[in-house]
Amino acid sequence: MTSSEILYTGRLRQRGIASLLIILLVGLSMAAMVFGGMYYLRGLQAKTVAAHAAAEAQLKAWTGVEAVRQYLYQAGSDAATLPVFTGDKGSGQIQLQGLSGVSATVMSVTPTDPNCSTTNPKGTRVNVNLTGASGPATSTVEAVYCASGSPGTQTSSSDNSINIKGDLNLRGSVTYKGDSSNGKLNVQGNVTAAGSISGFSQIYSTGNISLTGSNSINALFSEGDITLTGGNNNTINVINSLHNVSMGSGFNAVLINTNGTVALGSATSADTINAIGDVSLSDQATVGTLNTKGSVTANGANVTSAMVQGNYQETYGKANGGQVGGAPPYVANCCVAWNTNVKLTNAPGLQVAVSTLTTTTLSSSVIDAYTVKNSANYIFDVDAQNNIQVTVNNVNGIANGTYYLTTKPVGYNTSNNWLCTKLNGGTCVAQICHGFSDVNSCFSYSNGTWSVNGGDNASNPPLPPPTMAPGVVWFHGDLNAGSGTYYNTMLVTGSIATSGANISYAVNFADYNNICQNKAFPGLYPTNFCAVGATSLTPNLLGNVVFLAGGYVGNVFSGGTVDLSASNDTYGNVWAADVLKTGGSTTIHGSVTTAHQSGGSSSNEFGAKTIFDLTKLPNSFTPGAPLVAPTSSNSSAVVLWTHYR
Amino acid sequence: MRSHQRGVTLISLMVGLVISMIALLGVLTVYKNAIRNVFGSAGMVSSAAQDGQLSSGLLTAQMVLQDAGFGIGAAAAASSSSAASASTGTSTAATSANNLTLLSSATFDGGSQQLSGTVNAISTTASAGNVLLWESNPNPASASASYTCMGLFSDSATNALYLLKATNACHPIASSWNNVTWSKSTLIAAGSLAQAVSFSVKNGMTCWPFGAIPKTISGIEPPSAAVQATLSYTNSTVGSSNSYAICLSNFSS
Repeated sequence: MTSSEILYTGRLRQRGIASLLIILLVGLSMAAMVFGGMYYLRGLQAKTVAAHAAAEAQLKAWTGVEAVRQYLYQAGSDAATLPVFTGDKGSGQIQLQGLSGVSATVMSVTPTDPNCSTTNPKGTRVNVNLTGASGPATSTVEAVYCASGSPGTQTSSSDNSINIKGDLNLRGSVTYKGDSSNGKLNVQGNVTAAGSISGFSQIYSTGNISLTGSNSINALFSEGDITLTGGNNNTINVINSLHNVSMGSGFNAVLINTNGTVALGSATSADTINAIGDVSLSDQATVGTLNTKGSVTANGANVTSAMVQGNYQETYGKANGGQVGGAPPYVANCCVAWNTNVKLTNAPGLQVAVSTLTTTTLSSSVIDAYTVKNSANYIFDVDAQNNIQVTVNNVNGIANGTYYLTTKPVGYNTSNNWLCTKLNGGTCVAQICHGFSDVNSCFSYSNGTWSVNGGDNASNPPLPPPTMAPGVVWFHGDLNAGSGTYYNTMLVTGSIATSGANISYAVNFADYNNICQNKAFPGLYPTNFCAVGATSLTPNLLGNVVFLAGGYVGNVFSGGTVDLSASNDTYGNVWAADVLKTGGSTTIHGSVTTAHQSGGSSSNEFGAKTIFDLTKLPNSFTPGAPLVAPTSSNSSAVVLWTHYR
Repeated sequence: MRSHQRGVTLISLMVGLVISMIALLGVLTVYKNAIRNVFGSAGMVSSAAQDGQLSSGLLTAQMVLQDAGFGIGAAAAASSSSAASASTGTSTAATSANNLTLLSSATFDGGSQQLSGTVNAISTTASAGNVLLWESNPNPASASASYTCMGLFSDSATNALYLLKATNACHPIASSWNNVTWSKSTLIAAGSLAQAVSFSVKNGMTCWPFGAIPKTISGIEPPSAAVQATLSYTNSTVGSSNSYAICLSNFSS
C-alpha cells in the first residue's frame, strides 16, 4: 500500500486520525493544565518575592528609625531646628550618609510637646517618615521621637594649631617652632604668603593659597586654588587642592593631589601627580608618576610613567612609558618626525582611578570678652565722669568690691595707682601697679582707649617685675599695652595694640612664684590661681589666655583686633575676635585663634619677623585650650511611636 | 476508487485498534495523574494559592498590627522608664491591658457584625487566641474618644483570616469589644488553608522590630518594647508548622 493509498483509504484515515486526535487533545489539555499550573506557581513566586522584598524594605526602614534616633540622641533639643517637609519635593530630607536605600523626611517638629513632657521636660517631638527601598518594593515607617536635653558644646581638640578666620597675609619671616606634628595653620579664608615661611606641618585654607618666595612647608591643603611662584629650590611634600594647582619655577613637590587641573612651570618637578582634571607640563618639568582622568599637554617635559584617561600631547619631551586612553599620535606635528622618546601605548577606554579629595571641618569660635568679664580679678571701667573704677574679685589682700583708681597722699607727695574707696580722701587698700616712678600713673583712659605703661627702673634698687599686680584683668574699651612686664591675662572688649617693650605672660604661663609669691606686690595675688597651702599654680582655662580682644554689645560687634606690631614677647594664647596683626619682632609662645567676627574686609597679617614658639612650655599652661570648659551632653531621644504608612 | 478500498483486512483493523487503545490508555493515565498533581487537593495550584494567600495575608497582617498602640498616651512606650508617665495628668502609655485584647474561641456574627468569645488575659506567659483587637490613635493630639480600633480574626470554621475595623467608638477596647460593630475584609480566603492561623501574645518582653543594636555597641540605650505577638500557620508543606513574632513597638507593658 502506498502512502497515497493510505491517505485515500477512508476508513483507515478515519480510524488513525481519531486516535491521534484523542492523543493530541489529551496532550493539549495536559499542556494547558501544566501551563495553568505554572502560571499559578509564577504568581506564587511573584508573591513570595514581593513578600521578601517587602521584608527587606521594612528592615531598611527600621534601620533608618534607629539611625535617626541615634542622630536625635546627639542633637537633643537642637532637633527643633531641623528642616520640615513643606510639601515641596525634597524638603525636610535628612541625609543618612552611609545608609543606602533609606530616605528620611521630617514631617513635623514640635518643641515642648505635651506628649514628650512627661518623660522629658520640654522635649521636642519629631515626626519622621522613613522609607526603605529594596528593588521595586518600598516600605515607609512613620516614627515619632522625643528629643530632649542639651547636646553640650563640642570638645575642641587641644592641639597647638594656629586657627585663623578671615584672609591671612604672611610677609617677611614667619616661623613655627614646636612639635612638628602640631604646627598646623588652619585658615578659613585665603592665604597669601610672600617671604620666608617655615616650620608648619600643614597650611590648610578654605580659600586659595598663593605662595611666593622661599618656603619650607610640609603640606598645603586648599579648598580652592594653589598657586606657587618664584620659589628658590623649595620642596613641598604634599600639595592637595580641591581646585587647581599651578606650580612655578623654583618649586618641587613630592605628591600633588587635585580635584582640578595641574600646571607645572618650567624646571619644576613632581614625584607623583594625581589629577582629576587636565595636566599641563612646561619645558624641563619632571614628573615621576602621572595619573589623570583628564588630558596631558606637555612641551618638553620628562615623564617617567603616565596613566592618562584623555589625550596626550608632547612636542620634544620624553615619556618613558604608560598608557593613554586617547588615540595617538602623542607627539605634535612639529616633532613627530624625529621624537621617538614618547613611549606610550594606546589603551582605548582606559579608566584611571583618582580619588576625590574632601574638605575638613574646621572649628569656629565665638569670642566675646563680655562673657568672661566676671572671671576677671580686676575689672577696669570708668564712671560717668570718666574716673577709673576697678572692681576686684578674688584677690588676696583686697576685699571684693569696686574701688577708685586714684592717688594716695604720702607726706607732701602723692603716690599713684592706688585702689581707694573714694576718689579723694577715702581709704586706700592697695597699690596695684608701678609706673615709671611713684608719681607716674600706669593707667590712662581717653575716649574709650586705655593705656598701660610702667616698670620702675629708676628706683634703687630697681623694682622687680611684674609691673602690675598679677591676675586676670578686664578692660572696657580698647587697650594699648605699653612698656613693662605683665603677669596678667588681659581681656579687652575692644582692640589690643602693644607698644614699647611689652612682655606679657598669661597667668598660667607665669609660674607659682611670679603669681602667688610675687615680689613686686607682696600679698596681692589672685586667690583662684593660688590655692591655700599649694606650692604650684592652680591653672584655669582663662589663665591660658594672654590677650583676648573683642566683644558684643547686644548684637553689635566691636574691636577684636590684636595688633602685636611692636617688638613683643607674648607668653600665652592669643584670642582675637576679629584679626591678628604682627610685625616688628614678635614671638608668641602659645596658640592663636582669630574669629573675624567683624565680617568686614579686615585680614590677618603676620609680618616682619614673627615666631610661634611652642617649645619649653610650663606644665600649668595649655596651648590651644578652649576659653570655657566644654559642657557635657545630657541629650537623649526616645522613640514614642512607630507604625507603617 | 473501488480498487483502493480493497486490502484492509479485519486482522490489521483489530491490531490497529488494540495498539491505539493501549496508547490512549497510557495517555489518559498520565492525564489523570497530571490533573491530580496540578489541581488536586495537595496539587500545585492549591499549594500555590495557599502559600500565596499566606504570604500576602500575613504581610498585611504584620503591617496593620504594627499600628497597635500608635499615638496613645504620653507614651514612655519605647525605651524610657514608664514610671515617669504615671505621675502626671496626661494619659499613660499604651499597654497590653488597656489597648490590646486577645479573644479565644471567638466567632463573628455576620448579621450583627459583632464578635463573641472569651477574653484571654495577656501576661508574661504566652496566651493563645483567634482574635486580636487593638486601639490606635492616628492623630496623636486627639483624645481617647477618637481612638480607632482594628483587629485580626482567624475563623476556625473556614480557616480564613480577616481584618476587622471598628465602625464606631471602641475605647476602651478591653470592655467594649463585644459591643463594637466590625467591618470585615479578607486577608486569607476561606478554604485556602488546611489549618487556621492562630495568635499568641505575651508581654514583659524586651523586643524591637528587626532587633535593636545593644548598648555595648552603640553606647546608647536601645529602643525596646514589651509586647510580642506571634502568628502561627501551616503552609503547603505537609506537616509544616511555622510562626513568626512581631514586636509591637508602641506598647510599654
